[in-house]
Amino acid sequence: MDYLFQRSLDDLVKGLRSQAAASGESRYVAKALEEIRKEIKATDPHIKAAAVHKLAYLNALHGVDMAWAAFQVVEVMSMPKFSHKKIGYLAASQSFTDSTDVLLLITNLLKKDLSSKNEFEAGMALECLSRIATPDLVRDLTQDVLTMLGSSKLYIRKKATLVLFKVFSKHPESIRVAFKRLVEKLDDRDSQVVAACVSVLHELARQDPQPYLLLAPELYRLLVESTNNWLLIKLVKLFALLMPLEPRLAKKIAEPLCEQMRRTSAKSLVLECIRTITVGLLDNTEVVELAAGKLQEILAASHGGDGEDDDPNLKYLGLQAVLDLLPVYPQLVTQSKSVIISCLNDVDPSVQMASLRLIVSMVSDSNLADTVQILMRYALSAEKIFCNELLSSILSTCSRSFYELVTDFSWYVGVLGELVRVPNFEQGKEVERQLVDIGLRVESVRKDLSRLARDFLIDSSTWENSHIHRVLAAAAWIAGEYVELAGDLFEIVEALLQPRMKKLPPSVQAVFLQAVLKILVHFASAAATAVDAEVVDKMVTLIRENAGSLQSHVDTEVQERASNLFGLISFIEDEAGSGEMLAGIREAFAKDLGPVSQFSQQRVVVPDGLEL
Amino acid sequence: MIDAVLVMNTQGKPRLAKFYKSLSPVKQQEIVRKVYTGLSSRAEHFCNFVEADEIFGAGTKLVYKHFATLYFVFVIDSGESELGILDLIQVFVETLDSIFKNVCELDIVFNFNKVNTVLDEIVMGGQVVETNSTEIVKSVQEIFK
Repeated sequence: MDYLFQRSLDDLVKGLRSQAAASGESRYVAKALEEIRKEIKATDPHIKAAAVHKLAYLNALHGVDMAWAAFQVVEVMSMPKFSHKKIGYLAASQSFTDSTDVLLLITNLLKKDLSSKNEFEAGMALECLSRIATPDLVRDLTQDVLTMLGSSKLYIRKKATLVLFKVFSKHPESIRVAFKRLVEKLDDRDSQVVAACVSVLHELARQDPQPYLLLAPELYRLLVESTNNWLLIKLVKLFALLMPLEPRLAKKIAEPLCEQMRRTSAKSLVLECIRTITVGLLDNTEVVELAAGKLQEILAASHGGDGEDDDPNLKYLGLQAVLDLLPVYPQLVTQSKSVIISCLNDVDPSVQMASLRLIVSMVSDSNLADTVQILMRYALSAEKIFCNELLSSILSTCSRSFYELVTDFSWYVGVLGELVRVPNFEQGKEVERQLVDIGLRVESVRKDLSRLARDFLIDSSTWENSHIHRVLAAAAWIAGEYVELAGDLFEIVEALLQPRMKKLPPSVQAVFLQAVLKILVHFASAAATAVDAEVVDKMVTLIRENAGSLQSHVDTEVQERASNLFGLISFIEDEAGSGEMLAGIREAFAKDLGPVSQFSQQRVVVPDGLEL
Repeated sequence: MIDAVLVMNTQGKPRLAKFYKSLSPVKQQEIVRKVYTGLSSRAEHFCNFVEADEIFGAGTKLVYKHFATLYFVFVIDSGESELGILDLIQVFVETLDSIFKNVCELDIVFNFNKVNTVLDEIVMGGQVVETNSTEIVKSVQEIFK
């Protein structure tokens, strides 16, 4: 095949670009793939290499599988011409996996290229090894890589050093032989090599820091002397991993760490120093003060005032850092309070969330009311997702550890009422749970709950939001359960039986009906005067009119409860003996329901002879 | 560790995709789509960091920069400094700029091999190997002599 007619990669790309629709594109890709399959078998190196080049492109950017061409890739890697070889290596790096069987074939090839006089060829082989190394390859090539550590060329030394990470990861036994050689690189005359070495040590230490503790003196020297920002960042991160293992280490590096923090103009390094301080130096007040000071500078710099010169990156990272320092330096929050709170309003969701997390972690029983007020204020103007994050935070913080932080439940019931009216409200289930839960646990606040329930039931303008429905169920339950505390019972029954209720989900309708039942029982059994008797009649008529159809409702639960209700009515209307029975039912409902401990079941003694 | 480097345009088409963890081509494409979804909704003045737990696993972040019609995205885990990597993206783009003289998206589209080589001179096996733009340009020019 004459390579003049072969489409080059450029032709392929141009062809792809000329396809207007996605379907055209995938057809074009399929056609190109067919051509490639033929071309790749050619003996002419130029044609084969070009085919592999195109295939690599399609593999990387169009998700085309090229595992079937692994052998041909190896052929191209073995070609004498550097530009061809390079294409082979590119393809290999991106497509070979642990299960590629031709990997067995490339050991000698890599060996040859690793020792090439052309440093770029050697570098290419190192790069490939760093991506596709298997335990076998590593075992066979470790010695070659170690030799390269002593190369006169910086280019080779820095890449060979980095590859050692892969060597150690894939073949841990090599650490015994090679560790010393890696550590020697800490003394390399070029800081890029030292940086590569520290980078490798850091990655290794992330998996298991203990073996690297003995390098502390060397690392200390570097911390004091180095000016290479990248190296320092990795070094500081490495110390963060080592400090928990040896408390004296923290004391030793405190001073050089602070010195770097003071000297540097790179915020990246300052932030890493702060992170490391939060890991092991929180008991050193001087260091913490310095860190807090630097952090305040960063937060101040992040907030240009006016929103114009804001640096969103510093805001986001600054807030995270404040959260880390919080356990020892809560003052930081009070000092930067206005910045942090205004971040709740930030356009950037990342910054908003960071700010919210920080505020929530600062909550105590003394600032709960203020915090909730702030969060509520922002929720009113926030868009849906963040609004609900705020509301959800309020709900979870207040209910944490059985409402540990809440001192005034009357206030909290008010909060729940306000919460429900926030546009974008979607926390129906949780509010329902809490309303009922609080009613069970806190007797003194049942009157407030009853009032709240009445308001929800009567003001049907809020019923539009489907997330309110569960709350309505809670309201109905409360109205029925704490019926003695309710005000005008007829009003409530009217609300519970309004025509709109039929549009509510069946599960909610069922709760409504049960509430009506309880109220009717309560009222009817207590009816003493003629006026009362009239009201009972009115209630019964109302029930007949509005709930009659529910007896044949599709949902069985609704049907059943409606039938119970009507059964009760016919019972009431049948004068004889109903008085005593009503009193009996009323008493049954009057029994206080309380929360059940999650360990209650365990306390039940299994009766003798019962096999479970 | 750097888990991946992606360059995609503002329509979501990938122009460069290098993964430093073994992933099938199908999975790679899926990830590219998810990253695009995560980035396309962000406005200009937002911070350059997006938490990427659902895409790459716990603790990972996307560090990205938007230049003209392209997003340059480095996916990192907690072993990297966010601001440091942001600087590195700058180095990457400046290097491309030197090599291609005011680089634009088309340069990247038609120079698959060369652009990959530039990246390989900056990041090797998920770790940073060189941060000096001049050095990188020198090496790339030698390689393509």
